[in-house]
Amino acid sequence: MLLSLTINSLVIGSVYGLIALGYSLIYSASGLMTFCQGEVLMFGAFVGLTFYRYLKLPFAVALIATMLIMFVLGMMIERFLIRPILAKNAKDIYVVLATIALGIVLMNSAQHLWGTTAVEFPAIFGVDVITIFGTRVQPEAFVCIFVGVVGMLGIHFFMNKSKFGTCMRAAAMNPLASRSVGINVDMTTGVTWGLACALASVAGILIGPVQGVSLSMGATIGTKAFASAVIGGYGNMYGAILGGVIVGFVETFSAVFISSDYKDFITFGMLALCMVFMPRGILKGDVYDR
Amino acid sequence: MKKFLAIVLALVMALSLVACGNDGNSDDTPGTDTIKIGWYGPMSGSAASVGLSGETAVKLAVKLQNEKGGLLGKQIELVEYDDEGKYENSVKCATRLVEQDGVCAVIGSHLSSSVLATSDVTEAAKIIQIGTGTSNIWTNIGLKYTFRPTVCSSLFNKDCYASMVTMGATKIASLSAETEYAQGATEAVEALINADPNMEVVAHEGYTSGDTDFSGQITKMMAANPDGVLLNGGGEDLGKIVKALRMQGYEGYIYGIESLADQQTLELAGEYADGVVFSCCYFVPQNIEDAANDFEKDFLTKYMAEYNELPVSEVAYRAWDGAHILFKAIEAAGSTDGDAVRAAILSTPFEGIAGKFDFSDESGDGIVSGTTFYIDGGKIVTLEKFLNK
Amino acid sequence: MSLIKKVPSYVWALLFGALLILFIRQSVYYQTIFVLCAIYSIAVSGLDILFGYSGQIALGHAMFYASGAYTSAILTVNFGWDPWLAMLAGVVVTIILAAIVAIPASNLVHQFLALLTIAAGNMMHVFLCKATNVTNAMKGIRQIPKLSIFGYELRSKFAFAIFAFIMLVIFLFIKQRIVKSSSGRAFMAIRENTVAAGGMGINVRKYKIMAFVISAVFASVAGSMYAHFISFISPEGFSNTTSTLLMTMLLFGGMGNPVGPVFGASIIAILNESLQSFSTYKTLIYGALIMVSVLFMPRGCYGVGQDLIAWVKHTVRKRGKKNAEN
Repeated sequence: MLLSLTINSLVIGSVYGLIALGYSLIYSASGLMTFCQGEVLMFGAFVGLTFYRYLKLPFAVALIATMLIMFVLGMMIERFLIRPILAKNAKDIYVVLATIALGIVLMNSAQHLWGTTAVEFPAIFGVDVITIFGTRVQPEAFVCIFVGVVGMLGIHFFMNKSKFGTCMRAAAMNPLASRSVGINVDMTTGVTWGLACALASVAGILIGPVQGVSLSMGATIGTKAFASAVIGGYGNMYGAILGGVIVGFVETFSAVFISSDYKDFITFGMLALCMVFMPRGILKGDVYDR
Repeated sequence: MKKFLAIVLALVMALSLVACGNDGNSDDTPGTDTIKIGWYGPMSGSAASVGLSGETAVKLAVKLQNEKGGLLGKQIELVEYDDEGKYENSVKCATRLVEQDGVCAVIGSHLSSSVLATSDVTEAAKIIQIGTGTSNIWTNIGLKYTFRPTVCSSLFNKDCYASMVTMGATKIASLSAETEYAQGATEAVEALINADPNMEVVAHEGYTSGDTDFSGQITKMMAANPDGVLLNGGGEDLGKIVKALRMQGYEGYIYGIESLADQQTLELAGEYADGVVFSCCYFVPQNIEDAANDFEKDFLTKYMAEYNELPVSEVAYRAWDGAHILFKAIEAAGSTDGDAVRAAILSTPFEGIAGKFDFSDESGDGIVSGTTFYIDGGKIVTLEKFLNK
Repeated sequence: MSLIKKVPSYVWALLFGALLILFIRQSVYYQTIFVLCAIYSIAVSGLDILFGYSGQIALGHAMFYASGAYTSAILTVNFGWDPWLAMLAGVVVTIILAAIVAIPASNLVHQFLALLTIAAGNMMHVFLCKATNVTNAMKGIRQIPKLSIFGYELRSKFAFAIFAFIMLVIFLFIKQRIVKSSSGRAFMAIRENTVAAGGMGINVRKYKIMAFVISAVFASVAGSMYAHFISFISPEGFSNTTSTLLMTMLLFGGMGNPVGPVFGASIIAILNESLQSFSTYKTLIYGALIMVSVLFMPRGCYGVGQDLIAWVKHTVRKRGKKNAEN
């Protein structure tokens, strides 16, 4: 039982981690908090569903097309929503509010585009279930572990080793100084938002076959992924995955050994304790004082 | 330029406020040439899919009735408001329907908490409310003008327990959402199980609506080695849970009530839905030919003709029956006065998709009928038929 | 012009309120909306003290709204307390709860404070949903008794509307007194520059906690009023959506001034109603409007109002000059 719980925790934890990467990416590259990753995930899952199930494209094509569309959407969010707000020197809370409002808009657009009913996302791989050490897991969920780890490493090296990534971090730390040394700040933040949205849509497509695609699919998972990002260290890519796994473990084990009713209470309690005792998270995230 | 934009925006908002102020004032006078009927329920938010299937059914009922000449020689006008599934908004919507629009009757949400919260408003105004929720919380509590056009779910809970006995289940594990509907149903069935010396509840788990991961709960339930699992919650979550249960290797029967028959459960659970036993009054079949009675067939044919698809949820049946109970009572009463319509509902028997209604005991409930179904190879058959096979 | 300036602003407010009450006398529906506007205005004014004046972001205020509402409801329904006493008990419970959150929160800055309040708000909501013995879980609490003043029960919505208006005036008055006091100046100093405020000898921690607790009390009273007005509460009314709604109202109205929160709360509440005729597009339009207003009116309605007045004054002056030249 412990083994199967551990595997299950890892699987769900990596899903949280994968979404948490998006939150951390935006934070580390622009110092901003977003609250609409859950809705973006839902929207991405629906776009993917359209390509894969309704237009019957091969999976790889559908995935890439979805990521492209969501990347463009992310760029547009940054260009037409975030940048004008920042240009007014508004407080960060306005960005938070704008992303919450954007979440409402995305949710209702999806309602009008795809209807209100939950629909099945066809299995991506030929098999429905794979068995790992006697625990039965859906392959799509299992793939999240790999995608999460690859995403984590990729983004970490991209942010820390590549020139573009360094520009991004510089832009987050001090936009004015970065501009003066010739960094195209608008461009870098735009790309970040695009990447974050593309990541969320990958997560949406991967959990689609596990739990179906519906309007409310992103709400809970988005909040928990947010908690993961913060617990792991906001803005730190390793922290995002670590936080996701921790939340996954705490959730699954507390559901079994404490109370399944208070599972979410414990998760958020952990977030609160984390804020009080180590506000920068386990792996010391970035702190931007804007 | 930006300041100008801001001012224009403020003006637009002010105008919309003024517009809101105006639209109510004109229609207060009685004796206008339409009969107004109100509807409120969730048209957006997470309960929207079910809410909208009720709304489309009511809209269709009104449209067809108007084509037949309306009621009492007048056309019916349907006023509908979205409450997003939140009871505070339901209260506002109901108040607006009753006080502002002057409707003569209200067809209410499928969420029982909304019906309960709005009953204060409609009762005080002596306006008939047909609530489409199935929880027992708002009938038998002395409401005079509030009626249920379907079967109260407490009967299904008894049927659900009976089906466990029939199938020979002794050790039951339960998993239910935090909602009032799911909690109430689970408590009712568990009480019956605990009273039975041969049966016991081996695990009692909960989940939060909209959650993604149930592996902790399922592992714990499986560890208790149950021979029956009781599920209660919303259709969308149950689909995920049924699938996850089967994925993790549970092979026994899964018991529950009407929400297991939701189209979304079947869609999401797919082939994994086999072995699900549920008790309900009716459910939406996969095609019109499978309709259980002529009323259902008639409704589905009309619904198909209008919207080119079948309703998502049986809430459409509840709303359809409710609308027709109301139409018939208004015709019988010969007026739209609350007391007269109430008397007509109490005295006029009605037959609809659910069966024969008789509200004369003044409890608000008018029908007792339920069947237990079994999902076998993706097809829904009655449990009886399955056992005989 | 000079006449307008001579009459104190609260007289105008009272006059305006009296007119409004006359206007809503006809319709119970308007009265319901009016009362809800007043309740939200009180809660949002409290939030304004915290965010607008002392600069601390809180995205979990629904928990204090809930603690007030639930204490009131539980004590009156289960234990038969007098509603006023229960409301007071709600304030006490809220102060304790707020202190538990505020004491660790006072060390945090920026997004960490927001995150802590989000976490606390979510914890409260889960607790309300699951604690069947205390809160009756999702079934909610019914038949909460109405308030009565000197033996006169506020049974009609109209009576409650007048009461809500008086409460709003009282709380706005209290708010102004707090803001104008030395504590209020300390709040503003902390908002402008926390380090400098500490350097000036202001006990930053103490004032941060104080602002937090005061704003929680406002929310608590609003919650109690809400419980007694609607007579039915269940956890869904106290989720983080409500916290966001309160913040939206504050930002929309414009913060750091007495009328902004009232305008924000009222306009958003009425807007939600007037969008009803758009049926399924309602929330879409609502979301889009918020986005547009964040984009084009970052100082909220209050800012737009100021601009408008400045613009009118400017044009009048220009006209006056032109006339003089002629």
